[in-house]
Amino acid sequence: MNEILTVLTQYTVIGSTPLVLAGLGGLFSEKAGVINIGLEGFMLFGAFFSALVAAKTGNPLLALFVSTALLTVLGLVFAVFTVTLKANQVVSGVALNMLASGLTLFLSQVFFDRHRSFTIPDEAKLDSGLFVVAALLLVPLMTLVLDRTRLGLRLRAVGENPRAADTAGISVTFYRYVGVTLSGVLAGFAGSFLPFYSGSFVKNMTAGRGFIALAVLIFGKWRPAGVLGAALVFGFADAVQTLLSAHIPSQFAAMIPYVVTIVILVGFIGRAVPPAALGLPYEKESK
Amino acid sequence: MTSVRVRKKKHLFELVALPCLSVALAFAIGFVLVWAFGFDPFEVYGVLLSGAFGSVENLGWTLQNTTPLIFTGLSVALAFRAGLFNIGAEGQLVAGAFAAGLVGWLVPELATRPNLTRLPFWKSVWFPFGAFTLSAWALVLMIWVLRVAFTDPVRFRARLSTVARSLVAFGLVSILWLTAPEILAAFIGIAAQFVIPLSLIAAALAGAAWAAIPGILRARLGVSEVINTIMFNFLASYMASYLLTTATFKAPGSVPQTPRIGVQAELASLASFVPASIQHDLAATRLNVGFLLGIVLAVGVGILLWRTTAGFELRAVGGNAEAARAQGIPVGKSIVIAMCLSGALAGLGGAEQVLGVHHAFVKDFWTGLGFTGIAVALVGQNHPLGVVVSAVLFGALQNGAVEIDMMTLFPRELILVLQALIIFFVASGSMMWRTILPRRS
Repeated sequence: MNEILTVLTQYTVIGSTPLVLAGLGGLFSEKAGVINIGLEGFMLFGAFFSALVAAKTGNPLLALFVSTALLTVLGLVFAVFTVTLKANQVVSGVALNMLASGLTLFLSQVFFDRHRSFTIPDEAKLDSGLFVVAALLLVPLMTLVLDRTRLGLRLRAVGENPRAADTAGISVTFYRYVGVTLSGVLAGFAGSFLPFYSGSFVKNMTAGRGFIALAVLIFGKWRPAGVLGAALVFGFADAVQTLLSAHIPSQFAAMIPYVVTIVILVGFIGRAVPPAALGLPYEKESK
Repeated sequence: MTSVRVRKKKHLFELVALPCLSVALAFAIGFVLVWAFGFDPFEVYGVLLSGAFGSVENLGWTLQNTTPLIFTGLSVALAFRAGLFNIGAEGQLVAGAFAAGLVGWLVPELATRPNLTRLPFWKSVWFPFGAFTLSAWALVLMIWVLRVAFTDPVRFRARLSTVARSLVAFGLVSILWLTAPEILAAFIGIAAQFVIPLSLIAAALAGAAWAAIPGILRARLGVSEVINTIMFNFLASYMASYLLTTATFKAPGSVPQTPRIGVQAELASLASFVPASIQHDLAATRLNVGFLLGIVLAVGVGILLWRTTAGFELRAVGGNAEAARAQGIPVGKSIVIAMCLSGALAGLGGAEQVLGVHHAFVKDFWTGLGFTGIAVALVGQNHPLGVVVSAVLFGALQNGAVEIDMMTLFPRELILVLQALIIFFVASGSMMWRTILPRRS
């Protein structure tokens, strides 16, 4: 019994960590008023780039650095489309996910002799404890940033009432760029956890975690502490799935996180209030 | 007067030029990408082009790849028109394909068997399950009737007709359930004659049912259909994988697929409808009458959207839900109808794949069909005609990708990248062109 509890706790922590990080990433962009369906894609990019650099150079910290740098660029590109060009945010997110799925498989084959998956040597792996600690530290840090700093206040302002923010002289475009880019970086960091934990990159290895992170955001009522709590619930579902997969058909076990997502979405949708301008591109009033 | 006409022309220009320019831009970026990784872009694009359109046979393969994309493209486009983003076309296609595979396999199979009423299935599954469901239903009905009768007699009297109707429905279902073996035995011969329409109906219903759940959740509770339909994709895919491991649904052999459908359930190859000179080339492909069905459905969707009241309401809801509600249009109902129709279209696409191409429900044949449908709908500007044209484009890309895989050392995932870029450019297009092109006064 004790053994089961230990395993359950361990799996819950492992399952929640990427969800906390990706959820906090989603928080940055959604607080600024941009829906980020592309979390899944950012995670996959993060997983791929860090696995690629780690496997090629054997240096996990360099891998994390390169991945973060590339994710910054991708985040900026996503912001160009969603903020400046005012593309439909959900459609752009879907496109980003498709791009991630295609480009990671493409590059994997270019760099690894036509293989769609590859392993990371043990010495190039980063301890998963680091990600757990980072997730736990980021939760209070995010609360602090959002509630107590000028950056946080302005981010929230452009997400709640961009017109008022604009009138007060805050650049809506700039802060939305900041939110979307930070979102991509954090989601990429969340994705990096996956290959470092499992020791390999495989095709579409995020398996819907980016979408579950969006549900985490709603369940967590768009608050950092809420995100932590919600991610733990989903992580627990993930742990139960891992434990049950030995006893019930594995396909049913695999469905558990998705069913939990649907149930929680249905149960909590009306009770959580999203940022008021979420999903709306900001049009400056024309003269 | 003149200004109106000019604006309309410009609108048409944007409608056609925007997707074309987006595709061209994506191809240009792909060209640079191929070159940057040390391959010969002319060779890769040449193989892509000749693989897609190089011969009658290749054109046949392209159109075979096009067919399911017409269905999923129409599915996504119809939902878009109602303001819904149906990312779940893939799951609905799986549901439809499974239903079609089941009907196409079981109806011809059962028609050959004598003594249908004495199958062990009835005693072991059908009647116990029926007894359980019906008694549960009766219990709920009874509790509800008694509760209303005792707590609120006035309301009860007003609702008497509802109660009566429920009782009649209950009785009818019970009789149908009990006599099902006899009904099946009596009608299986006729059903086997009409197995293709029956399979198609089953597929449409299954797809619609799978889409209805996120649709109802959106209409009633306001849960975004985006995340839900994605979750339903995962569920459909895992459910199908599971069913293909069970002894009931998996055909003997190493391939995870259902038993082959009956010969009379197979959709005819298009090869028998073309001139003899190219018949042989087309016969190598699995291009079938499902392609024509797709075209007919495209026309049907066009008529529905622009020539019927339901279509008008659907577009009104998609345009501005609040305004539509103020006009007295039942918004929730329109949303559910749109999702059901969207799901039915995707489900029919699954039926085409099973009845016309694979002749069985094969695991994982669906990968990417739903997501490509999103790209098809966007490039086609959510117009049925545009959907058909862009489905050919993406069908050609997919077929060309297979060719790239065989003929060059270049990864076929290039086309996924191209697809994503095309979506980005179409979605951001009008703003981009406005910025790039000089503004006319």
